[in-house]
Parts: sequence; structure tokens; C-alpha cells
Amino acid sequence: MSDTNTDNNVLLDVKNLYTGFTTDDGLVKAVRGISIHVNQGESLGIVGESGCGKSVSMLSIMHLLADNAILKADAVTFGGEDLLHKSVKEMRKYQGNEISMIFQDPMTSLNPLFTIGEQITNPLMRHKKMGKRAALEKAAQVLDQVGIPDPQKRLKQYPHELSGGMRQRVMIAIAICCDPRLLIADEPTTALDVTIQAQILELMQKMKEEYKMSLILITHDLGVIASMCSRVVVMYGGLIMEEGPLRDIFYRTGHPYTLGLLESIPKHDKQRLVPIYGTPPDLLNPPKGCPFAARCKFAMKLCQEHLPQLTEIGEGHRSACWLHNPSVKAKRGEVKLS
Amino acid sequence: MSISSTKENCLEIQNLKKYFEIKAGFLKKPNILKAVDDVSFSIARGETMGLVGESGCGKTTIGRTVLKLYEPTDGKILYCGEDITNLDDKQMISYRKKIQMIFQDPYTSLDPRMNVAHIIAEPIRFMHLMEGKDIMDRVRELVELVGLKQDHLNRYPHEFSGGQRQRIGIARALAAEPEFIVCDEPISALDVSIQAQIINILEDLQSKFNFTYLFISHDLAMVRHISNQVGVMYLGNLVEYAEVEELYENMMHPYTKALISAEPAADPDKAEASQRIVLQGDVPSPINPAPGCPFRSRCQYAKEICGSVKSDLKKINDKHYVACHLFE
Amino acid sequence: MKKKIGEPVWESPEEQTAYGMADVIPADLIEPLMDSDRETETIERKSISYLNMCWRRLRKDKLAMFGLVVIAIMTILAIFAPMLCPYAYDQTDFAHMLEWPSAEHWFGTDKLGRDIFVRTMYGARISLTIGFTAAFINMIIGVLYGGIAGYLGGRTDMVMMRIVDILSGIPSLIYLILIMMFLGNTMQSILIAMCLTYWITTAKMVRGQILTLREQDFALAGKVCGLSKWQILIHHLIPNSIGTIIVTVTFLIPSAIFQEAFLSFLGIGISVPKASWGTLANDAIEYLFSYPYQMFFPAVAISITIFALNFIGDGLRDALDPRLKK
Repeated sequence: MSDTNTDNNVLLDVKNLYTGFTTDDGLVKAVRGISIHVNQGESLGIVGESGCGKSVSMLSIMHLLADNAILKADAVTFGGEDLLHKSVKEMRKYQGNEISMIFQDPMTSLNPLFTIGEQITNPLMRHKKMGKRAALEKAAQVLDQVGIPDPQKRLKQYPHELSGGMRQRVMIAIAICCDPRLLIADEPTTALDVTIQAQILELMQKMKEEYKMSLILITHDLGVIASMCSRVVVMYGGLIMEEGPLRDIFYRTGHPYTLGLLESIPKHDKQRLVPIYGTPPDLLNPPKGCPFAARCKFAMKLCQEHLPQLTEIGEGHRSACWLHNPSVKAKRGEVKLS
Repeated sequence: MSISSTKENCLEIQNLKKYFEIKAGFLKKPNILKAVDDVSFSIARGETMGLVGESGCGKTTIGRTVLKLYEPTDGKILYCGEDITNLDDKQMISYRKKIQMIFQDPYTSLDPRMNVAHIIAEPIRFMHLMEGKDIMDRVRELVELVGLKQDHLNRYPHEFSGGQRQRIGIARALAAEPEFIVCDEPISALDVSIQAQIINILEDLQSKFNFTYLFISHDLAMVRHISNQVGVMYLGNLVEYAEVEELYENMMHPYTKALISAEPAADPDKAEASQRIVLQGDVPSPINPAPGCPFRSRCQYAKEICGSVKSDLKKINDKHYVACHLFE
Repeated sequence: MKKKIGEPVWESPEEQTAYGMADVIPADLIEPLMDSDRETETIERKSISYLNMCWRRLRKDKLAMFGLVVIAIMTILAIFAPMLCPYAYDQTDFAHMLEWPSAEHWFGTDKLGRDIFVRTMYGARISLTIGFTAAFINMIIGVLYGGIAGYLGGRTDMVMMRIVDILSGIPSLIYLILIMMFLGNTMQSILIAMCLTYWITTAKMVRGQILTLREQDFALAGKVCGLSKWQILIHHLIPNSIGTIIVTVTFLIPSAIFQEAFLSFLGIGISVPKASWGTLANDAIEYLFSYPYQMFFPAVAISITIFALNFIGDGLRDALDPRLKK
């Protein structure tokens, strides 16, 4: 799908991103060369296990990494503008304005010392140059939009006075108040209960349509992906394993890792679960070949030695797996993954 | 009302209550947090009871009270027919051999300053199950039982991944040679691919040693997979209790319906087709709860009576009990 | 936040790929991977215990290492210098009174012709002994008191903490002076005086730590494993607060040294002819303007020791609990 990347339709385009962290033990290679794009108005899901690099890649784009991070990319563009070489100061114009982020734990991402009102008006006054009164008015209106009852009262409250679900609503209110073009939600519902998760997902869907935003949803929950996203990127070991339209990922799976994730979910037939055995690789010394080779039930000697490239296997559907190589297919026969 | 089965009961709790006092301030009457309010159920030997509900519904408190980590406020806990409600710590030791626990968070439930061998050997040492060299032999055996290697024994918890740590936690629980294990959200902190590993280990152990499990979780699909009976809790109350298929096929309580429909299906077609019941509002505070049905504030079917009288669990059929005024 | 853009230090994965997706793959590489070839549960990183890890972090802290070296040198000098020196600490020499530093008397002599170098080194013995012993005793009392209060909690904790409040309400100078008057000006009485209340900080720190730790799952797990309350306290809670304890104690040492010097300087601590840094300073005060070197050397000794100990304390705090570092 490389040709769509040059489309005017592309909002965020990341080419060949590498992110590493220098630690006492050495360089941890968290993201090892991934390319991701998001189209205007699209919901992209990034799914993968903890430590697969899904959050780090988004934080890299936003220049929100810790000091010990090393970053390299061929290009990061947002709406045609380069983000890669922006200074920290220049990036602030984007953060919370054109691109907003929602994090997993609303308690730690809200500042406990400031009222909800102060925290929502802050980005409005900074980015939209609104006056205090206008900002407060807008804040109340946004709070109402995200389904917080009695917004005038809430504006004066502190984060600890709200429940977990309410806090996440406030986070969404802060994220959308400046009318962003892209919303990055990093495990927005992982800390919440299912009934609250349902509320928040419904709200995000509504807000996305109302504000005509693009959405990047980072999660480990395939259920959330299935109900929210139109396109999916599956990451593992700092690399993209598979990407494609939602239904292709679920019904025409092209990678054993995706298959493993789908099989790990209990069906309602009480059959024994099919887990992925073993443990994800340590990205301090990532394996030479495919990172999933050691846990893959289809693995060949080839996989351990050589890294497969992301290859088109269907319309907009790409997979990095040697099973799609013609000579492998000829020898082993077509392996059915879905 | 008590739920009793014809099979041999391993654990039975009767009208269990656990209230916590929350200090309201100097010389003020403390507030009462009703974490568990009059819950009864029983689990037959070799079976698994799933306990589901949202955070703060009291499911973890039940698990801990069963192990007497918390003193029950009222009610009875019977283990194999014997009343263990009022035993003190010393008398409990002989039961702690039989009742063990797997904790939710594999990162905080293992002492970071101890190596794996010490962690697993702890119950053996302190319950005086073995002496000397036998302890290490037993530890090696346990480590292999959960699929870890012997050269892991000298390592410290922080060196392991979440799934590996949870297996260390399981090995520690097995060390006491228990009969009954409280699994307190054993998979909720783990990645999807690892969750299935842990569930399979638990199932293998159950068929090998005829363990009885109390499986506490908020993951409805996993509970359906592993349980024989399921209890649904809301705000300290057991609102529905049934055989697993009966519950998932024929759920009755409005809360159970909402809970099950809220769980997103990992299947785009089903997700599109499903009519999700989105509950409005938050779970009310369990501190000084108002009389009546705990769920009425979010229930679309709430009637006048729900505001004043709390419904008891009522028998619908042999396999199904529900606490709701709609079914009277 | 700084961001480094540069060449990645690791090779890009593409370079490791000898074959493209459309290439012909040699048949032997298509063989399935045997289970024995898979290493999925191996942990590659070297095993390292908590204390080892802390030592590794501490070694990187230059100031703390400098402090450690200074204290080591000071200790060695305190032990051996008075032995090797030709003069005794109380040896008077009326032929060489009030002499400025020279090759014979490195730090000069005082009004009675005593060698100030030997007296300063001898003072190091007293100061370091008092510092370390007081800190050690206070650590024991503090850990026990704080540990018990924190672990038992409830009413016991309330009563124990109120006692602490009362004790810390009394100005320490008052009873320090009283005790010194009763027991005489010896090292033992200084130690006893200091041990009366110095453990309060340690006790408070340990109590706080235990209060958070006992709510952790591993403490509950200990109970499930059949440990009694005391066994949990000793096997789990105290080992896990060791970081806090070490740090508090490292900061106790300099304050004990300082306190002793202060008491001796006021004339209610160690008495002449015994030399502590405080008495040396006290001796020097009448000659401050004519012979300032007499004040200079003990003062410098006190300062660098206290600096060094504080550096070590800071380094230890960062090494034992990296979250606090910023």
C-alpha cells in the first residue's frame, strides 16, 4: 500500500521509525523500524502485548520520550508537515492541540493539584488564545458533551473527587476541547470495568464522528479493536507483524502471531484453550530472525535466521511471515491460518 | 436462603458479611463499608466456581475472608463441613495447608528480595511440611510442574515476565499441597497470549490433583470457560448464581445482562450485530448504602419496591438463583 | 526533554534479511523448527540480586564514591596515624608551644606544645566511633520500635507514636546536658545521651515504610504461607525496608558526629586532655586571631567528614530507590 502513503488523504505518516532506550544493561531496542500511516477520519488500532513497542512508537512521534531514548526515522509527517525535526517547543503547538493523547490511567495523567476546570481551560487558553471566561464556557460545554452531569459543579472539583470512569471522561474532554485532527488513545479503557469501558468506547466513537477526528487506538484487547477500528496493525517484538483492514485481520488472518492471539481467547465451547507458549523476546538482545519464531507453531529454520519482510498478501493487507513465500508454500503446502 | 448441592461440599459460606469501618473523623461515628453483605454459596469438591463483578463489588474480599485474611463480620465459613469462622491464626495453620491462594498481581505478590527457590519453599518451611534436603527436591519438582526451569531458582522476581511470575505464584500455592485454591484475578494483569497459558496450567492441575477453585475474575469469557457455577456480584451482594451454561444462555438479572453484553466480542461481525446495553452512571459507593436493591440506581426496570426492599436470592430452578423483584 | 536524533546504534533488521519474500528459499531452511531448538523460557540477562544492583548504581555516582574513599582514608588514618606518629596525643612539649605548621609538626602545636596532627587524628577516632556506634544503636532501636508500631498498627501504633511525639517535644540540649552532668564527660555517656532520642527519625521512617509494605500482596501471601505476624515482619517487611533504613542511618552518622563536636565545643562533651574535634575547636578559640591554624584543621576535618557522609547518603538513597532520583 505504499502508494496510498503519498495520498493527500494521509494525516500521519511514519516511515521506518526506530526507538531505543539506553539502560544499565545496554540498548533496549523497543521499536525496530516500523512504518505506520493514518488516513483522515480513520480509526487505526494498534494491538500487541505489553513491551511490543506499541506505546513507545506513539510517544516517539509525539516527542514524549524519556531522556535515555534514542530515536531515528526516515520521516514523520503530520498533515504534510514534518514532525521529526521539530524542537520540543515547536512540538507543544501540536500536543493537546492538533494531536491529543489519552492515557491508560486517568489518575496519573490528571494533575491532582488543579481543578478540572483549570486543566481543561489551560490548553484552550494556550492553543486557542481564548480568554478565561470563554474558555470556562467552552470547558463546561465540552464536559456536557462527554456526558458529565452538572458540568459547572465539576469544573471546580479536583480529580480525586471523581470516579475512574468520570476521570477518563474528563481526559477525553481535555483531549478533544481543542478540536484535534488526531486522537491517540493509549489503552484508554484497560483500567476500567467492563460496563464503564462500554460507556467510554461509545463516547469515543461518538466524539470521533462529531469532531471528524482520526483515531489511533492502542490496546491489547482484540474485542475493543473489533468494535472500534477499521484498520489494524499487529505489533510484536518492536516490529509490525501484520496490518490490514479489520475483517482481513480477523477472518483472513495472515500471520501466526495474530492467529495465536485470536486462538487465546476462549470460545464458548469449553474446548481447551490454545495458548502461545513461551515468553516474548527480551528486546535488549532481540532474536536475529523473526521475533515470534521461538513461540510459533509453524516456525522453520529459516524463521530463526532471517527476518521476513512485510509483504502485501491482499488489498491493503500485509504480513511479515515466511509462510507467504512461494517456495515455502510449494514445499509445505498452503498453511491455513484462519 | 441457602444454596446447597447434592454433591460433597468442599467450601460452604453461609450469610457471610464483611464490613469495614471507615474513620469519619475524630469522635465521629465511623462509616460502614459493606464490602460483602450476606452472601451464601457452596462449591463442590473438584469443581470451579467463578465469581464475577466489577471492581469494588466485594469478590476479592470474599476470597480473602474465606482464607481468613480478613475476619468475617458475620456468617459462617465451612470447610469440608467444619466451621472455620472463629479459628485464630494458630488454628488456621492446618487449614492454610489445604486452602491456598493465587494473587492478582504477579508483580506485588512475590517478595522482591527473595529468590524463586526461597519464595516457593516458604510454605514448606513455615508449615513444617518437610525438612532439610527434601525441601529443595520438592521445590525443583514444583518448578517443573508449572513449566519453569531449575536454573530459574536462583533468580529474583523482577527478572521474570508477568506470566512467568504468575507461574511462580502458582508453584508457591502448590507447595503446601492444598485441596482448595482461591484464584484472585490470576490472569487480569497478564497479556492475552499468556492468560491462556495460565488457564491451561490451572485446568491441568485441577484434573491431576482434583483441586477445587474459587475463580475470581472480571473476565466473563474466561469465567465461562473455566467454571462449573458462576456467581455474579454487585456492590457486596450476590445477585445471580447459576450453573455456567444456564447463566450465560438464560441470564435473568438486569445487571448480569448488562455486564455480559458490555464485554466486547473479539469478532467484528458479532460486534457490529450485538446490541450493547450501556449502563448509565457509576457504581454507587458501598459506604452506608441505601436500603433496597443495590442495582436500582442504574437499572432500567427499577420499580417502586426496589427502592425499599432488597430482594433475596430466589430459586428459579435447580441450577439457577436470582435476586431481583422482577422474578417474583 | 532532550531528544537525540541520530543513527541507531543497532543494525536495521533489513540488513539481516538475506532473502526477499519472493525469493527461492533453500529446502533445508524450510524444515520445521524442532522444539529443542526453541529457547522461549530462557532469561538472557545476567542474574543480579538487589544489593548487587544497588552497588552497581552506587559505583556510577562519583560524589558518593569520593565520599566513600574519604571516609575510608579517614578511618585508616584514625586507626594508624596515632600509632605511627612519634608524639602521643597528650604529650606536652613546653619547648615548642604554639608553633605554626612545620615539617616536624604538620598541623603545628597548641598552647601546651601538643601536636595538633596527632590530636586531630585521635579526634577522628572518637568522632567516627561515636558517629558509627550511635547510628548503629539508634538503627536497632528505631527499626524495632518503628517496625512494631507499623506492623501492629491500630491502638498500639497510636500509643507508640504519641510517646515518640512527647519525646521529640523535649529540647534535646536540656537532657543531653543533664545526662552529661550525671554520668560524667565520657564517650559512653555521650552515646547514652544520644541513644535516648536519636532513633526517633529512624523509627518514624521505618514505621511509614512498614505501613505501606504490610498492605502489599506479598505480605498477605506470607500469611497464606503460614507465617506468623512476627515472621512476616522479620522475613518480608524489614528486608524490604532495608533501603530506607540504610539511608536514614547514613544520615544519622554525620549528625551524631556533629552533635558530639558541638557538645565538646561547649565543654560538656569529651573533656581534655582527650581530644575530639569539638574539644580541639574549643581549645583553639582563644587563639583564633593569633593562631588560626589551630581552629582550621579540626574544622576542616569535621567539614569533610560530614560532607563525605552526606554524599554517601545521597548516593545510597538514589541507588537503593531509583524512583526518587530526579
